[in-house]
Amino acid sequence: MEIRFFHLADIHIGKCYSTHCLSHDHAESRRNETWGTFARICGKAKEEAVDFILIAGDLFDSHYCSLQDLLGVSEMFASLSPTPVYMIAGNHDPLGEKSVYHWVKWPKNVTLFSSQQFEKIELEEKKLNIWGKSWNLKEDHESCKLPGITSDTKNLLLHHGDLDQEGSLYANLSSQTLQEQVFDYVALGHIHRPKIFKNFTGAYAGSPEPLDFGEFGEHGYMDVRITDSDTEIEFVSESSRKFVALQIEVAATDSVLTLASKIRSQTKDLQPDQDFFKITVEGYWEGQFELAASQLMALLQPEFYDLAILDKTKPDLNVERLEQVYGDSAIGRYIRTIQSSDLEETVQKEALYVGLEALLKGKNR
Amino acid sequence: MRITRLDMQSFGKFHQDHWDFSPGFNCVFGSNEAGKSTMQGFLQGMFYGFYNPYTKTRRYTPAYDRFRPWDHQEYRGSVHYETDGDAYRLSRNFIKGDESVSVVRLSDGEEITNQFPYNGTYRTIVPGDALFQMSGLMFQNTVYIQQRLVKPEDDFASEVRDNFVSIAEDFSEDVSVKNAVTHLQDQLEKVGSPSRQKTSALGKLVAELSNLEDERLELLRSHAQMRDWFVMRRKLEETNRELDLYFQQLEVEEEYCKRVILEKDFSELEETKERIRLLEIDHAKVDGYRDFDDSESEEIMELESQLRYLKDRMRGENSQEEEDQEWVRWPLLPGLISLITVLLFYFLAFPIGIYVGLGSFVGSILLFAWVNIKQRKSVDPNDDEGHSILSVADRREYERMLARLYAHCQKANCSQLQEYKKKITGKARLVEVERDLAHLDEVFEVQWKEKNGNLLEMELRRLPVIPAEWRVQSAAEVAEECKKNRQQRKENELEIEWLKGMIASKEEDRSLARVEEELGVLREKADRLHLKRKGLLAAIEGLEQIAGEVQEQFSPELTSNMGETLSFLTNGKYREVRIGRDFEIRLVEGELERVVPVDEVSAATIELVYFALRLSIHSLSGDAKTPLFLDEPFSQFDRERHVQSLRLLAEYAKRKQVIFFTSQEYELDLMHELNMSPHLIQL
Repeated sequence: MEIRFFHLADIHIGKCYSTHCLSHDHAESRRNETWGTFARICGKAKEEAVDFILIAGDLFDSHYCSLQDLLGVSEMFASLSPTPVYMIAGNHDPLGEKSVYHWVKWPKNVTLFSSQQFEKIELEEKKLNIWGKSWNLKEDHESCKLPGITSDTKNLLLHHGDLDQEGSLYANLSSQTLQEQVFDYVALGHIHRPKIFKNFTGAYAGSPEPLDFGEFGEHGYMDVRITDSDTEIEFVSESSRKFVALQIEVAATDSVLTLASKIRSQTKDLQPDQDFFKITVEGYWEGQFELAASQLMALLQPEFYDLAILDKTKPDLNVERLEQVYGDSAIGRYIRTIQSSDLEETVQKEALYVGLEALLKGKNR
Repeated sequence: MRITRLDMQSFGKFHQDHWDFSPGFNCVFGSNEAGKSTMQGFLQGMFYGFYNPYTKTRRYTPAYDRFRPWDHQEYRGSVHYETDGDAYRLSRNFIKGDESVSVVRLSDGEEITNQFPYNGTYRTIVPGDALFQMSGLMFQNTVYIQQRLVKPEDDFASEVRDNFVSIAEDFSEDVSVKNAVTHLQDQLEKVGSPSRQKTSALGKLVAELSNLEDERLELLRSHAQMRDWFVMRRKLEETNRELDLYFQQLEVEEEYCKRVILEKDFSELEETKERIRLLEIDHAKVDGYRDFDDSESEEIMELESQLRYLKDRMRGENSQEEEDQEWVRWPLLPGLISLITVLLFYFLAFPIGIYVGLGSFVGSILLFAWVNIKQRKSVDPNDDEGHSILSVADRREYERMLARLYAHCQKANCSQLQEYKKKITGKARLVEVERDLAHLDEVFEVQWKEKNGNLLEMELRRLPVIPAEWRVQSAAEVAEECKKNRQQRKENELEIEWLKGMIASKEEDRSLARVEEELGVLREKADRLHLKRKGLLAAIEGLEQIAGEVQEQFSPELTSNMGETLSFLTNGKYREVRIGRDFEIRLVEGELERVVPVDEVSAATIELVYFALRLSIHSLSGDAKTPLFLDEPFSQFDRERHVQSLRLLAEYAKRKQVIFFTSQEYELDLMHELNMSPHLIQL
């Protein structure tokens, strides 16, 4: 007998995107895309008549999600009926008294594990136990203790938290314990990048859509089949867009146009018209890079779906040389005055550069 | 060090051009656009390259492109120079990517490039640093003395005074702390301040941020409130579910109460039915008397009465009834008197009378009771005792009447009067029962109608049976509970609806995520502007601080040198230059040593002061033998000052190589007049 299910996690419906992540305009459409991908996966689950769907926590970003989000998910789950959905709450949507999970009445095919200790749901016809527990707070300092299981039925574990992170604030689980316990599948959530483990039968599903530039690579869900002899885990890529972070080094001879060419060259085999790009520009730039960055954006924006340019350049000003050359002159004294001041480092740098720029303004640079 | 030859193989407008220079005074003559600036640029480029001296990376100054030949692919040249008794050739290729610098000692052809220090930023040697003992910045600002472009509106005196520090310290009139401060203040004005919310960039941003922060806080409050409402709604819904269950229980109890009432009504009907049933039993018992003819019963009772009378009369006794009546009447009278006596004495408070009255009253009651116990003797025609005392006449009458009585009895099929009387009673009873039955039937019909007997029966079949353990409650109590329950549920439902409405209204609020995203964008912008503002403020403060710093001792050597130079240039009119604490320049005039502020001297004299300053700087800086380049420095001078200045230069040229650029023929004439014998280079 084969048991087939989809394992998802970390959908984060309603998530807020910080400015280093997406342009403000695309944040709302990104939330809709997350919704769309989630709905698509659920639709597939019904079409392919899987036995059930597992959601390993953080379905919602409860600080930001709306009642409409909750109602939408509830309706969607209802439309999946009779396919059951088993889910747990994570650290971003904990199941306390004021939890968003209480805002709607969940349809009958949805089971939300509501205890903070592992509880078991028995699927007798499939000879399968599903173990799960939900978060009720935003942090869980205690390492997780697994339930005792017997081998006369199959056992799945649904858990949201860290793995092998001693001292973690997020319900740390030990992979060694998982190896000892021998679950037929461990459905994990919390880490947004998908990973299938080799030392035990389980995986982090990862978020179906990447949520920031740290989450590069493919995203989707796990398609799991358990037979009497084996468990097959297949990662299915499903995300509609990727986050791509690149670095560009500015050369002394670079202008805005050459920089733009460099960026185009680095992205020509990628999908700038589809994905989110963050280009970090490093190196020395003569004067303030701000204006150049605006010009760069103006040049490149039409070719990119979403482009952010992060300025990590440093002003090309040889302060040491200037101090050496100008010694006791105004420039030298200014440098020493600013460097010996008790200004914050960033303010000191800013003051140094704007002051020197102003002093050198009349010179032939 | 002196320059002996310039080879401009491909530089600017020059191609394969060369010029030789003499050790002393050299005059490069050419009209405007002849190439004087190009030659100056060539020298700068050859010794220092066209690199931006302020940057950490190798960047080219605009001069690089300015002097790049347009129609030649080469960009190079060489300079021959002499120093310390040896001749050298410095060659440079300026082409980017193919740059090279080399220095060759001409005496033995040895390349000595490696003897020059390598500059890691430029990635090449900078021969000028070693040869002139100064940087390219200094070289430009000290070795070249250019024509001052004095605009009519310029306050030259102030300009010289204001730039004096810069000139003296930085050897450059371009560095002006005051101008730098002004520039920064302009920038600060554009950035603005947080308090200027309507007019400044930062102010507007801060105001917008503040509004968004308020909106965010409001949304957070709103969200928190919404969560509380959800909790309340949930609790109310839970309460209502419990109330629903309780209400269902109450409904059952209502049924029980209803049943109790209905059962009571039903039992009333049942009671009537039972009475009817009992009557019907009685009826059945006496129905046999229906056909009994009791038409002669009066006559028979009369006969019986007469027979009894006769019997009594014959006994010489009054009828038992009269005796009984006598006995009854007699005790009652004293009893009544006694009672009145008791009452009288009671109200008049005579205790003895009370006792007497009471005794009499009680006695009469007892007597009355005894009399009543005494039975009236029945009069039976067969009574022997009566028969024996009857007179003959009476006896005959008695027997005749008795016979008639018996005949009546037999007619009625009764063997005895008793039987006849029994049948009479039975018939009477039948009438009574039938009357009662009819009455009860009517009563039952009315009751059935009133209590809706059919419905009652149906309801009793429908209603649940009351369990034994049910605590009896009144219907009123249950109804009251039901009412309270309904009321509570309704109130809860109203509140739930209100909460739903309030929650729904919150859905119209802007999304918190969007607000925070907008806030993020604005905060970044604001942070950048705040940093910029802080930097500008700190820079302005720093500049004002250094501008305010007092030079305790301002290069006395420079002022002394200036004084000597100025004295020569002004034929001794101004012998000394003094710099005050406020950087005011004062000139000491004549033998009287009158101190004159520089503002009060003529523009021409100020020009001389400026020239003296630049010349003094040159003579004091760098290598003692650094050539001096002058580019039309005396164009504003009158003839007298012009002559003096040229004389000064002629003297100067005895010690250092002077290369003088001019486009004025009359200047050449002046030089010849002064027998300067310049080495002329015609462009």
